[in-house]
Amino acid sequence: MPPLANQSLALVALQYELALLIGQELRLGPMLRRFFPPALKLLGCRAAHVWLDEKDGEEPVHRFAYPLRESTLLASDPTLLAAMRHYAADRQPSACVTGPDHSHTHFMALPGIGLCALVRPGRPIDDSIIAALEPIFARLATACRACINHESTEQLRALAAENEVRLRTVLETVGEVIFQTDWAGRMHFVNTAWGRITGFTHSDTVGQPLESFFHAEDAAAALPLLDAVRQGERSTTRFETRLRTAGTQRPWVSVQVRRRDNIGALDSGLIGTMTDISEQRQMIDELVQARASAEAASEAKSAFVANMSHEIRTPMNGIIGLAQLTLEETLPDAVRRNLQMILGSAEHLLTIINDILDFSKIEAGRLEFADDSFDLAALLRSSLASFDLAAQRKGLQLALELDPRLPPQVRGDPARLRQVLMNLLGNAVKFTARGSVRLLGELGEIAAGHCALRFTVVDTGIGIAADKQAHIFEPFAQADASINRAYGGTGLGLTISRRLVEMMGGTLDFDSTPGQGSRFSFCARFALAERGSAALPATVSPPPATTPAAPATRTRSLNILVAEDNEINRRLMDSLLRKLGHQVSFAHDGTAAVQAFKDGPFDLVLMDMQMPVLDGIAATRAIRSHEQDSGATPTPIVALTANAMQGDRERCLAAGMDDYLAKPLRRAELERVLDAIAGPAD
Amino acid sequence: MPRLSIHFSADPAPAALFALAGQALAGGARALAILAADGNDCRADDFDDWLRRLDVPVCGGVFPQLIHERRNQPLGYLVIGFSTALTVVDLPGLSDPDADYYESVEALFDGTEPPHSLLVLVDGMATRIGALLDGIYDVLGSEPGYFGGGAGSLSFVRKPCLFSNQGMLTDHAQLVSLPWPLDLAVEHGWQRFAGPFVVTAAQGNIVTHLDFKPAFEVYRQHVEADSGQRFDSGNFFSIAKAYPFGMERPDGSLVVRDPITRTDSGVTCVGEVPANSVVHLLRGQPEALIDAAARCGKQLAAGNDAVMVVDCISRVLFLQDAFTRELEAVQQAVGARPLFGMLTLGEIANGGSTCLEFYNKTLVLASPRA
Repeated sequence: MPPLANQSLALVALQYELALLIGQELRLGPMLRRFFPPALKLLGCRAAHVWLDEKDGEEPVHRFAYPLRESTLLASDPTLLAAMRHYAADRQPSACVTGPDHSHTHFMALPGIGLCALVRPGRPIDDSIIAALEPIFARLATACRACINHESTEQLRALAAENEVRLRTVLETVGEVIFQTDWAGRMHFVNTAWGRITGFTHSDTVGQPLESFFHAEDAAAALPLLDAVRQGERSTTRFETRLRTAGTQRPWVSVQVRRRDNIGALDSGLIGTMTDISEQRQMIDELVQARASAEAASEAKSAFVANMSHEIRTPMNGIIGLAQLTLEETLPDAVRRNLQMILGSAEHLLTIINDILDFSKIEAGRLEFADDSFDLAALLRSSLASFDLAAQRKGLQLALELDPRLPPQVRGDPARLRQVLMNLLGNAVKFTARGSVRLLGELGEIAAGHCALRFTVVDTGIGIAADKQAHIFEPFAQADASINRAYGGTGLGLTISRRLVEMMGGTLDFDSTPGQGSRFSFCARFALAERGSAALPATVSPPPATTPAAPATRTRSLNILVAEDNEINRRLMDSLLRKLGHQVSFAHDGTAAVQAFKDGPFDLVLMDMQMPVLDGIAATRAIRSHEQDSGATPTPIVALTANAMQGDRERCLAAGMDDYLAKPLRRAELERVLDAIAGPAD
Repeated sequence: MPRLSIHFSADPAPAALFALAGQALAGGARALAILAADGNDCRADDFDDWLRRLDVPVCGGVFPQLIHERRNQPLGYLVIGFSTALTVVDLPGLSDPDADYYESVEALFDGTEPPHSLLVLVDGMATRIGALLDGIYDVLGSEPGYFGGGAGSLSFVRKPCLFSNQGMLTDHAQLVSLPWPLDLAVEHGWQRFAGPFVVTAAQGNIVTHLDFKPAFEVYRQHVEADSGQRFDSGNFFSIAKAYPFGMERPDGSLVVRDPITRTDSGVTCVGEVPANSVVHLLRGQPEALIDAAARCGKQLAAGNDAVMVVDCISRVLFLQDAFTRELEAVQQAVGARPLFGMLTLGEIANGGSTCLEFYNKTLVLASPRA
């Protein structure tokens, strides 16, 4: 078959046809697949391969074959691969390799991007055709480059779109509000959660100041924080606020905000989140309310205990006082013994009441400690001396062993220290039938104006069984139920003591061997008292009520007004005060007391706290007011109260009283007060 | 049993086909190829149930005519029984403009080695035969021998034209894997007489412009001058059957495109004519075509196996009575071997191990390699 009459025209026609096959697609694979099948038919070829340079200095990568089946064949054709590498290294315009099946593989450059191979069975492609193909393949290289650029752009775009979808999904799904504002604080982006929480639409929101959505009561606190972030004083802030919503709800949100510095970009400004904390806030409110209720209940319990205490102490005051008074009379022995037993039982009952009261205060966390300076050695001595009588009766030896380094004066609550010591010494004396009870006072350490002191009570008593030792500090537990029957007691003494010691910054420990005795030891921290500071007398508690009273002959006679609604107590006071050589007038309630005072004059008013019509506090205020109005010198007013709860003393003093005596009234206490007012008799 | 058993009947009745198939199966055939002549006026209703009941793989089609014993047969059936079971796949959507045939074919042959040979039968009226062939070649490569052709009717009326185990099919292709390598030969014998022309516009198989002028005008000018005949409203094919287009290849070879109808200004061919391709006008001389057939037969290696002939129906229309001389020339060239086959709407082969082509007005010979 004769070739075209004009060979040049034929080649131009070939170039024309091939050139117009190039670039019909923007994706590399389809673009090459549109080009090669017709090109191979035009060129009488069987297959084509394309390798592209993907990394500098590395072998080009096989990216296309038509038919694709040839890729598999190529991989197992080392000769052709070697030829490709050889050509790839040189990049001559073209090269031809003849294979074992007599096919001819023509390698041609895809300038600047890779190379191509055309496989033709039978005769090789004419040189003139190869020359005509060079500009075509240069054009194909450009098209490949465009496709690769397009594909990478498309990949980036797809990635961006995928990321955007992912981001949007997150933004639409998260429960937290995510928002952005401009520098002026105007909202320009909110996610879906905003609508869920506030009910505001995007258009309701965008352009509005962030703070305009805050509850008016909360905005004032939030604004300075936001301004600080806006002005760069801090990079982030966090606060809680209620949000205004489209409805009536005002949900609480926790807002976190940070600066977003993206200079020149529209999204510069603030970016932040809001987390709905309404439920947490509600829970906290409920907890606060529950705590308030619990505290109110505790107050009520304390009030009840105080009331009970008052109710019990008032008759106890009568029993003890009258028993003491009667014992001072000349009595038949049998009557005296019975009366002493009544007095002993009443004293014991009082101890129990005091224990319960203390325990109740400790449980309620309402026990407060005084901060007084006191003589430590004297306190220890007097505490031990309290048990002289009991020890003598049992034939026990009492011993006090003091570390010579003990500071003479310390600051703390001497009454509480004494309470612990009395409890431990009381137990020791109670549970020891023979031998001794020793009280040891040692200095632990002194540092920074404080000292740690160790107190130990050692007895040779019955000891505590090993299996009971773990329980002795539990409330209402005694080493043995039989103990209660044999020795009495509430079972609260050690519990209270241990708590008191803990509150004094120490611990209460013990060791004990049944049949040999026990050793209770505690340390407590006290402030060192400044030298020369006024110390309370070591004996802050009255001596035992059984101690015979000193004759009341040293003081001058006072004219005393007693405001007391309880008849027995009036009788007691009458007997006691007259015995001490004073004149007594009585008022049955506060109003009567104020009137009696005005009718006075009196040297002293003993004022009961709880009275009908007008209580002691109000009556005292009225008296003080009267004195002020009349310009009279204030008359001493001393409270008489069974209200032994914390705060009573302060309330009394605040109302204008001068001193405070707790019921049941201890005679010595009363005498101390009377002596202080009367001064020594002539 | 030989690799192929050939059974022919000139009876157009369906029963004749059923009887032939029965003979082939009785002889041990494990797969059947059914070739039917368009003159039989085959109706799907007559064959579908029977085809679906066949328990061996079946392929084949209705062709304008059949070839048996050196004669073209306008009526009857040829049944070829294969001694081994064949793999037949039916591929739908042969005119689907969006179909990706690479993907379809790849899915069909995924992971399997390409067959030795592939018989490709297509609905000759489908519009994307070229794309299918490119897809097949892309997946299977140049190793298999390919041959086949377009089924259908010269009336160019679309109707079911392929036989399958699903029944008769339209707008399908059938890919039949054959277990032996083939010797193939392709020739046409048509010669340039005018051109070259550049196809400056084309849509699929319609050439709309040649050298930027309406294609029919260019075609008419040259053909009327050469033939001395005038085109009128009804005689296009009777003149055009002697004047096909030839797509130029750089080695001087030509791929023939058969013009079968005309549009207002264009010429419709059997098979695609790509835009921007260079074409010539060809004309045929009976002797040149017969010589080409003889050359084609001589290209086949010697052997005893039957020779399958895929020849273009337009060669029959052009050669008329002389067509038997073409078959005799082939017979003489291949020696005393059974000749059978079909006259098609387009022929398929990869002559010379190059890409798979859809030919027109061409003769393809295939024979199992000895």
